[in-house]
Amino acid sequence: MPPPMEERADRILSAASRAGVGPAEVRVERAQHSMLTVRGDEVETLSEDEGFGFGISVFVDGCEGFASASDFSDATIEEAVAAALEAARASRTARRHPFAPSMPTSRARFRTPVEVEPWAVPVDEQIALLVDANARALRHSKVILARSFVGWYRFERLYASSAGARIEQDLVETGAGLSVTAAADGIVEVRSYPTTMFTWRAAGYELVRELDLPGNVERTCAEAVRLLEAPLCPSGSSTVLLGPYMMMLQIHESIGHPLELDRVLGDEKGFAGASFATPDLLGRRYGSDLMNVVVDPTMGDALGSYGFDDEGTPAARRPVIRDGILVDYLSSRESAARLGRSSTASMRTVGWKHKPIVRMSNLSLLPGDSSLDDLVATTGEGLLIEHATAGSIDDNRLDFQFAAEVGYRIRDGRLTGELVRRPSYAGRTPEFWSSLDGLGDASTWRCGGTPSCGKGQPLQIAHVSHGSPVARFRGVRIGVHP
Amino acid sequence: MIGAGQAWQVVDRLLARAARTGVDLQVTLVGEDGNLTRFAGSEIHQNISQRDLYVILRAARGGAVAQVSVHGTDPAVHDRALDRAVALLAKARPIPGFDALPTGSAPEEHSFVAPGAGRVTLAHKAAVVKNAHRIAAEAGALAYGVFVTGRTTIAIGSTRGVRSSLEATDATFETVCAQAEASGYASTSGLDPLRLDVEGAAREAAEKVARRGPLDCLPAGEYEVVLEPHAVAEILGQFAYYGASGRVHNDRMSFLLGREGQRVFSERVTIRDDGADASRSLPLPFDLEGLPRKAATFVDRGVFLGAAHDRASVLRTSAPPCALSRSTAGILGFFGSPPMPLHLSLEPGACSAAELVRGIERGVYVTRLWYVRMQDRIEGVSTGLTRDGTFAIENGEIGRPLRSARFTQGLSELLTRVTAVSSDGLLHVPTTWFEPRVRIGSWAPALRIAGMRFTS
Repeated sequence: MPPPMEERADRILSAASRAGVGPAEVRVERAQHSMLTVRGDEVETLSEDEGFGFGISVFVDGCEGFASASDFSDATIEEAVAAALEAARASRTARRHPFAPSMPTSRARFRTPVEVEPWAVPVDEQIALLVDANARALRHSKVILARSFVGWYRFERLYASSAGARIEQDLVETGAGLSVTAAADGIVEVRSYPTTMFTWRAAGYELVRELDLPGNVERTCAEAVRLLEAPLCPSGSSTVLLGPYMMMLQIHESIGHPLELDRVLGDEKGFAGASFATPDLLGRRYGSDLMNVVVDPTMGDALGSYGFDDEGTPAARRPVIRDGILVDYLSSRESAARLGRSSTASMRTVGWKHKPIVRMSNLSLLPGDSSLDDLVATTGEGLLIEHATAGSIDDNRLDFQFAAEVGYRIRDGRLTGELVRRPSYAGRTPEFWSSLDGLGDASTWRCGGTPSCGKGQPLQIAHVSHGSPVARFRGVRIGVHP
Repeated sequence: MIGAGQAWQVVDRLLARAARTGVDLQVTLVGEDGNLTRFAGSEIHQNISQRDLYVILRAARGGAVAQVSVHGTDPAVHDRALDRAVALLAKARPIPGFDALPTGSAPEEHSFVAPGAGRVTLAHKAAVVKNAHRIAAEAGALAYGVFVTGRTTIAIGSTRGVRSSLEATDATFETVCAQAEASGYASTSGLDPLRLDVEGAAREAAEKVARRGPLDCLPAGEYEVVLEPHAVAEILGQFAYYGASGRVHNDRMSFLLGREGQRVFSERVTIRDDGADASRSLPLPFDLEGLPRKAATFVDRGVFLGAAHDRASVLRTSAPPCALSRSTAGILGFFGSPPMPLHLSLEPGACSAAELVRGIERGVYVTRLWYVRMQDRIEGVSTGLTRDGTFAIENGEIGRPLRSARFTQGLSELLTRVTAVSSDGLLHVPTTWFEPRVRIGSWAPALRIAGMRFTS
């Protein structure tokens, strides 16, 4: 049996101590990932990845150096410690605002509740499921392509600090989905189930069974085929209802990223960008007073769930926007300290190889009190847009333009059953959120996760989720065509 | 850092073991040793060293393939991965008519190692970065950016006789100089960190931010534009996937589907892919099946010649492929691994950069594009924003700074409107990459475009 993670962490911290390092923290991780994609009846991807390595952060005069490596030989550990030390010392050359964090001391464990371990489900059972779903889709004469997937991640992590903290976490995440492509008369349209981007949860294989891909093929294909006959999204100003799977992207791009405090303070200005939500906005209006937004890494089976962030800060539910007023950011201990605040446990790394940076976890817009029927009935004329496909937003998170798979016409206060294809809409973040005038109740609220949030250099692809009800916005620019 | 010799020891040991199991095996080994010195507000705030050995095993039998990847040098871990790959292979379904691993020909050995790269210490990099901060300060600005250096070893071997290896160094310095709302960007990349013109890039970014004045908004509409090479490289990135990936064509999701042999862009636009050209790329002369990547032209004077394929995707197309052996197997992370060109260049023209601007009475000068996304893949409609150096062009001269502006336009339409191409260009290497560390880039000149459509 290989030595447990704690023994490895102890060896690394001992090496750091021998090298004269003062405060240090180590992250040891075994990360596993499996991905199966099937195109029609052909297995397109059948892959597994396992990484086992460590990252060490050392602090010299308030300057941090980070190094990582993927084996645990004594020589490699000593080289990594030396590299981290060299990086910290070099950083002193150009560091005007050093930060010496106090190292956590707690000992704790956190584990994702899992009913069915996905790695225990036979691969041929998974293949058969996806082949079946695709075959059902391809029975539709106008469906030309069906692709489906099942994937999972497992992260076994140990955070250890030179002050004695030892925090073990075992995080499991699973995702599954189907997309079908329909074509006729030169028109090609795609529909997905359960949605396009936000199909993952912190759960086991029970999620795949709950999703019931084969049982949802008919509805998905029928809508893809109907889209072929639908008109393109009209251009102009409209009232829009955004479905929860559209709202997830809206929340991600125009609330989540702008509130990452490292961006706000300029740390990502060279790459991911900055934020319009500068500290003078704290305590001031972000949008409509219907907005209540919380960050909550402890939110059950939401994808971005954990017990502690990667600085050992315990996770907790915290409001960031209350009644439309900005009340907090997503922060690390260092970025929070720069504003005289405390960390929101948002410092995360995607794995042993990378230095933690400020990330979202589960960031959600809380539901209101309107039923979907009420929202539609009081809309008059408009469009319900659902299932985000693409998004673009400027480097200060102000000017956005998003696209989706499907739009549903609302006329005279009812959903007519008419579809529009390739809907898109655009806006500016503050004005857009101020135009929010209706929020669906808990029955319209959904939570979905994506394992594809990119930030940092080198790129770190974080796993995050968002919850949202259906939301209504007035005077939105739709159908942004060339 | 593992070198090619040690890499082959790992590969050959695994191949010998695979031979005893009766399955075919491809081993892709990527050794990486890299450092990023990141700075913000003229301070170094992240200083990161990463060392890894990434081992990708593709077990195959007939048309079936299964992939298992692991990290580190531990032979026991590698052996377990091989056993797992063989076990997974038993579950894989073969693709009819497909031979999952290619047969090799002559060994490919390439070295693009800058001799001085190993002498670059983190202290040296910090001093270089500090000098860039000084240059920004002279312009009354702060500097943000990154100085990336590293070395990568790739070895790909198979039981079918493929044997390809690469050792390469790389370096990129990029910076944004910012003062209040104004900002300017520049970057420089190459094989040798000691030969990068870091000071030149820092001064270029500082000069842009020094063009002070209130930032005006650009009213929506069509403008004649000059795109710097950084912006053109972003467009090439869109073309590489949505226009030139064989898988995207097979999925009928490309705006160039069925347009082989047709003029799709201006006749001034010729787009090539050459992974061996060290003057225009961070080279990688073979694909991720270890097969030689012959130089290919995808667009010849505006005419689309075809998509890039790997050996699997080409089975599903009736259209003539432009280029084979464009497998990216295993290197593009969670996006999967579609076949695509990795080292695109847009052929230079005859104009100087100054001549591109001269003659434009009223237009827009764009340093860099940001968050370019394909809003409508089938129609090829992209949207994105300008960033870090957008200026009005007035009476043939670069003038007042503008705020970032959004464009929404079909890629074909945009590149059909190219009216001039600069004679000089730039190697643009993104400072982000997926796992493992395979650094690639594109080479682009500046373009003058008759009508770019800004929508907000």
